[in-house]
Amino acid sequence: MSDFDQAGVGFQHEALIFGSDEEYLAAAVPFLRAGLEAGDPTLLSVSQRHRELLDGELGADAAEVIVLAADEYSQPFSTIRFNRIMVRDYFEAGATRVRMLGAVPHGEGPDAWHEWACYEAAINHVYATLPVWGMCPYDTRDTTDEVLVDVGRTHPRLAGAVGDNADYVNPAEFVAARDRGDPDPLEEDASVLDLDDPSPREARRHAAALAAGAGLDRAEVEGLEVAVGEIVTNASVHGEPPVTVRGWQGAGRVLVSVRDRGSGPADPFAGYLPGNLMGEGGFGLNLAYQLCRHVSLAADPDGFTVRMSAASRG
Amino acid sequence: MCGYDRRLLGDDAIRLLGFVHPLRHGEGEGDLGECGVRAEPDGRWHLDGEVSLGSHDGLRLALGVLRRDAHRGHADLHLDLGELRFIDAGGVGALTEAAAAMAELGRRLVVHGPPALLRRLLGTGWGRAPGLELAP
Repeated sequence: MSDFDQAGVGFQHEALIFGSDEEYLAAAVPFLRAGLEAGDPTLLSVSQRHRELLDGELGADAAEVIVLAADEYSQPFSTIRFNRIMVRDYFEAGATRVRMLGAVPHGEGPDAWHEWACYEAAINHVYATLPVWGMCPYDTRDTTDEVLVDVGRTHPRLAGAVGDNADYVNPAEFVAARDRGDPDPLEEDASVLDLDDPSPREARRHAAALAAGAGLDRAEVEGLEVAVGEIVTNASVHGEPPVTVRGWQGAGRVLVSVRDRGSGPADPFAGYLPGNLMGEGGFGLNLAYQLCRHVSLAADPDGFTVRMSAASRG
Repeated sequence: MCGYDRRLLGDDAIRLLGFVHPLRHGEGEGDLGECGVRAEPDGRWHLDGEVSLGSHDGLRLALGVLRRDAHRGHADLHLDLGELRFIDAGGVGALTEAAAAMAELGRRLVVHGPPALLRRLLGTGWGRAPGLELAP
């Protein structure tokens, strides 16, 4: 916790659900203008087309809006880290509130959306004390009904609506209910790595060899190596033996699962916050989230499984 | 060869001895041999091997001793990690905690030859690491 966590302004999280450019601009332009008039850092991470539309409406004021890099929303857990650092820096520079109009990716299939849906829910908790007003635009013309249901359940407020959003659900319950234990398709084949109660060192070395053998690049190999080491460390320290590690190799992709007989972390937001570099717990799971392509956690009556996958870029 | 009677030593002392003696005879104490520290004529403490679960306690104890030693000598603590092959989150935590303790005394923990992995892991955190300086 640092000072900006206690600023007391708190996170406001609003969805802007629109079906036309007119509806989009009618909500987004006043939102941005109010931020600029208050002297708040006013940030934008939207498509090029929407940026041009907004620029046209804002006129000379458009130059005051801070446009974030295109990769701002490349990965949920990196986005959380990036946003915390950015808000901290603005706060330390004297800002009292940050406004942000940011489009969360939702057109890349159910697996990618699963992670962003959990992000949309979790940030209500992990940004709760940050002095940020965030607005997330979703276009009904290119958003599936499934995604729109999740958007309604993860945003406490809807732009243009009076009062609270009645569909909003407790973020811990949302994330816990979304926790998916679906086996990865690679698991239909026989595993090529089977370790019982390995040390973290032994497990990560085998995982690295598996990833290198699948032709993944060095950064991906190292990311999986670190992640497997951390998850086996967590299983050894916090879980219940035996700890089993399994690995599968596919075309340009590897999967490693780590299972123990414990019940997994009690906190549904475990791993969502990046480490503050001061050796506090939770850093290891967040590292896995940041360094792997996909990570899923699944608790069942007999144990707890973490699945981590790495894949070639592109 | 340095002889120690384990009946006279506490658990922490045994871990610390394991950490500063690359070769050990007699009863092992887990996976301590994967990482070690030694002094070199360049005035730096050289950490080699791999830091993971088995060496966290030893690393923390060793850094505690080195920190106090540096403080007594009114100096910064210089670590050389050029030969370190791996470090995990717990290892990064041990380094940043030691650096923060140095910072409270107005001193630094200077890491020479920081491995690319250390930079990458520091880059995944959101906080700052007071007192930690990565030398080129």
